[in-house]
Amino acid sequence: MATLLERVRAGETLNDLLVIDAHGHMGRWFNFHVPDGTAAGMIRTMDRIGVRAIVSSGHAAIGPDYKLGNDDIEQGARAYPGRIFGYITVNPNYPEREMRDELEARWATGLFLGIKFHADMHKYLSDGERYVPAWEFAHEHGIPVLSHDTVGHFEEPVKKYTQAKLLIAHSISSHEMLEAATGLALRHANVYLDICGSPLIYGALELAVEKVGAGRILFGTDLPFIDPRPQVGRVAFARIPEADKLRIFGENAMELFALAGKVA
Amino acid sequence: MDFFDCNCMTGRSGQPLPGQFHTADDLERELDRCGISRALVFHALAKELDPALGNAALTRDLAGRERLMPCWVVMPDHTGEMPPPDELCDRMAQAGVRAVRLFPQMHSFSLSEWCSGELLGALEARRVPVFIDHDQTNWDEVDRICAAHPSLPLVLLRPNYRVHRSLYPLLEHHANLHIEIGIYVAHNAIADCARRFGAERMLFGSALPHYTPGGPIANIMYSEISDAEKALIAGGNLRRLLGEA
Repeated sequence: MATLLERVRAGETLNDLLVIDAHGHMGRWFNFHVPDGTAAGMIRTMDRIGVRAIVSSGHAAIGPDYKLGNDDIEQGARAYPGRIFGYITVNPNYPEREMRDELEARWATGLFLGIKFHADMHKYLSDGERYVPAWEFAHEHGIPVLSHDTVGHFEEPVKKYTQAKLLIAHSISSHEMLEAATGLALRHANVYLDICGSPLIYGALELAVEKVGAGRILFGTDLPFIDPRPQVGRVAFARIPEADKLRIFGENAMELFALAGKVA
Repeated sequence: MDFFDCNCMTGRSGQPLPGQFHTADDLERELDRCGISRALVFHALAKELDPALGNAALTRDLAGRERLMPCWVVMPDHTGEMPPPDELCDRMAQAGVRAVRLFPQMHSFSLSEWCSGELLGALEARRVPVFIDHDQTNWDEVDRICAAHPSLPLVLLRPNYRVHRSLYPLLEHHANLHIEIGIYVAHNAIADCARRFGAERMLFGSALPHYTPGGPIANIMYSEISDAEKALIAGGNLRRLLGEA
């Protein structure tokens, strides 16, 4: 039987596996060209590789208009049921009431599975008080928060909101990030690592698995900011057991996002 | 698919990352594991200490290793640290070196004609491909080099997913410009670039031992291009630039 490395090296579509992308986006972007940021283009690429489903936040949402971006994701999720799911992106620079209403309304659609913070783009840190309604919502519903921030700003929220599940974006994109993220994950059971990022540092995934175990690590790609193909190669070529690759590719996401029965 | 990696390093680095290897033996083992048949290799000493010293170390390290092709790190000769360009090219030919790499930022020299023109001209006359990292130059320099030396094959290493708005016009204007696709990871970038400019402009490179080859291999193999185009990017284009095809 061919190994995952052999199958990916041959460009074989991985339809028989459960590959779930836990870090997606959608749309156009201001400071670089995205050759195809549409839902249809994303699905075409996912089909070529064998990615079953993606959990996305809109580019507009992490940029200037979080409600517009959430609209884009909702439309994509309705167009491709069971393939595209959403993160409810919130922007703490707008009124608290608006954030609470947005969380309730999007959650009620059943198309969103978690919450997205982009502290870097919105220039507001994950442990700031204006994110409290979102942390409370995640805690109440026991859902993931995917946050793009420095790890030092996660300690207090994950300690306080124990039912929320923090997914640290780009957690192995540098060894400094890897050290901090794995340290936090070892201190708190509700912390998970997203492997999304363009620099695929040699040995970083292996080191993360060694430190926290494959059960805490999720496949994520940044599609369509970044092509998902290289991340598939990173996991398949990693010097870790095949069973660990399957957990990272999708089994962990199925559990974290409670996806049983929802994926097409 | 026959993979020929255009961007590998051997030798000890001052800033090794955890798990990073540094010997030619280890490099060959990793190439085997990943199914990469050959690699173009430069030496860390040539980048981080002295090109002449590092190139000599490379010759020693690669002796008897047919699959590892040497890539010398060079610079202009104004200080006497390098032989004059024509002599350098003769020495390269004697040593079987058919590609060079420049680190103008790290090595503190200008790529402008008044500094590097004679070197680039000598390399151009012999059609020796020149490899330069994206972070060692800028778009205006790339434009000027390609315009001043239209027969010089220039390979820009490690362009990332944010480059299209400047890269596309340069690929349009300069047929001698090529890119390595190690982190060229915008969505559908390989297929989009192949459709606009031809697959002949892209080369497979991993940047081992810093980065995993699995990324660019998967990016090529899953791209929506023909098998012939994949073969060009995987290794055919590098073989052509090295005068093998």
